[in-house]
Amino acid sequence: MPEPTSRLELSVSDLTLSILEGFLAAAELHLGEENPNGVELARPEPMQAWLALKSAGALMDQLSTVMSEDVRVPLNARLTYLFERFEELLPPVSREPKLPPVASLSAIVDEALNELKGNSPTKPVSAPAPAAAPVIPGTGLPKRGSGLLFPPRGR
Amino acid sequence: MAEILPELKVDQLVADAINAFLSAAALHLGEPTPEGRRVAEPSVSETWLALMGASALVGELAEHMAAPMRRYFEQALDALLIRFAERFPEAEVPAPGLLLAKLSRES
Repeated sequence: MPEPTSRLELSVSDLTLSILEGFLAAAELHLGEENPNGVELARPEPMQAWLALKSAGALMDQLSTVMSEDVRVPLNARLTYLFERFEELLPPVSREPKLPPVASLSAIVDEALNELKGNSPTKPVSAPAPAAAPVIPGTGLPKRGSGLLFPPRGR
Repeated sequence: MAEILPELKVDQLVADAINAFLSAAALHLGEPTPEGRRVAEPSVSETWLALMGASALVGELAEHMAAPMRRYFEQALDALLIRFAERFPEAEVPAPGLLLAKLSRES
């Protein structure tokens, strides 16, 4: 038990760099990168890698102006490399435009034909719902306020 | 043979990092630890750095937090920023390379 009068050494610079290193190491592990200490994760998760990269990126954005160049450059290079690795691991998404299937247009065509014949339907036919965006399992971003990433603990 | 980690919760890591920045800011503003210890040399620059670190993480990730956690962090950060402004009204943003240069020289 320390004496109440004893003084504490606390370097926030050290703390900041340790936290940055921690986020980059966590991203590496969740991306399945080879760890220099021979550590692997049982279940790497893209969402956790994304969170680690976003946290490291936020700190770099905020603090890079007060970093010396020999600290900032290697950290930026490592962060950029890990972001590229993250993007490479995403499954390819088709860039072809998504058109509704022809069959879904039949109701609209029928309605137009009926109008031409003077047999306007009593109940308007609604347009088909737009095709949903493709979902990449495990990489979708959490919704605002969902608490998915930070569920309440004990509160 | 690789060591296998059963899990690594980055959301817990982020929450711990924010708490660490908030505690560091409070200590550099002169608050004691629960054991009654105080920072030997409170520093305006180190306080500023801790507040910037916390606000970067809270600002970037608040929208993904559950409401009680977001409120807790935002209120704690606001209170510390107000104390910082009251205590150091003339404080300026540190010059580039000032804060994080020390470690690079040591390594």
